[in-house]
Amino acid sequence: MGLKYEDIKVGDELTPYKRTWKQEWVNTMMEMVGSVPNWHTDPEQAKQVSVWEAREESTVLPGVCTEMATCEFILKWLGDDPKPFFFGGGIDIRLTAPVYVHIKEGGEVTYTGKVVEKDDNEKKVICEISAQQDERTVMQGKAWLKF
Amino acid sequence: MPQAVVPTIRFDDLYKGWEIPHYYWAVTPNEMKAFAQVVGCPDPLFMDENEAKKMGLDTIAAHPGYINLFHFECNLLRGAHNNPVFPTMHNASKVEFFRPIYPGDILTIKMRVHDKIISKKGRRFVAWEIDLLDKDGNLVARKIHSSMWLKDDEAQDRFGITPGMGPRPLY
Repeated sequence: MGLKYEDIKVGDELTPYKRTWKQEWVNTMMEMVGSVPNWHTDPEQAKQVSVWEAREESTVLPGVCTEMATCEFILKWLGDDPKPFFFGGGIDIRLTAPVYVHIKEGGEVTYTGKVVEKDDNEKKVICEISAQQDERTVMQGKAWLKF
Repeated sequence: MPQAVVPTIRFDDLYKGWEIPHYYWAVTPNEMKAFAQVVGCPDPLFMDENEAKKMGLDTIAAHPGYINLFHFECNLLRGAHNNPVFPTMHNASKVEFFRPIYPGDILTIKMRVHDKIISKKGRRFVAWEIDLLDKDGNLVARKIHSSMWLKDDEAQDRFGITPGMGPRPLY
């Protein structure tokens, strides 16, 4: 059953979404776009980047993976009706900290959000969203849906 | 074996409004499904035509991340100019969908420099506007992809890349 516009209220919390990223998925995706090795696939290169603190045996998740998981988070909250996202919906996010992926254990991120506005004229819902890894906020932004 | 060394595209080479040559992509169901599996999200919406129809769509939709296949900066710029881009770090995204990407779509991808910013701390950012249009010219999705470009000395010290010359792309 898909979420209906009438059922959504300002202040509602979106169903949290836990997503684990495995290094092998990142490696394959990077090969698909023709950019390997790099700091998303090679822990040694990840250590050399000055703008984050390196972790042992870990790489840093590509920002587009956080972006696509944010879209998954919204689609999963909508349930069996993805149309409000695919027909006029979207996201606007900032990547605020690196997401670490351990080369063997992967990296888990939790996506959360809440409804902050409803526009009855346009049947539009706006949500504030964020993502956390190990209690660090790695993404902040908003999402919108058009019903 | 010797490796070809070709010029990188640098921050200083870019200017607001500069548009790379258009890019074209024929969308196949196998590629769509493979992508959903590769990113670890083989949900019925992306894999099963009957399930997608029950959700009110014409057929399976491409995973939202599929749009990134075309416009990874290094991929697209390299495809357009046969040279690697200078090291960048993705820092923000705005993505709007106007309809799902379906199997059989033939997409035209347009990519231009939306904005170019140097922060007070001297950090350098480029925002790209990427439009995906269908064969009738209708907008399917639009993305603003923003990234920080490493400073020349950082790239030199940490990765041995001299501005203007680079053996391969880093992303």
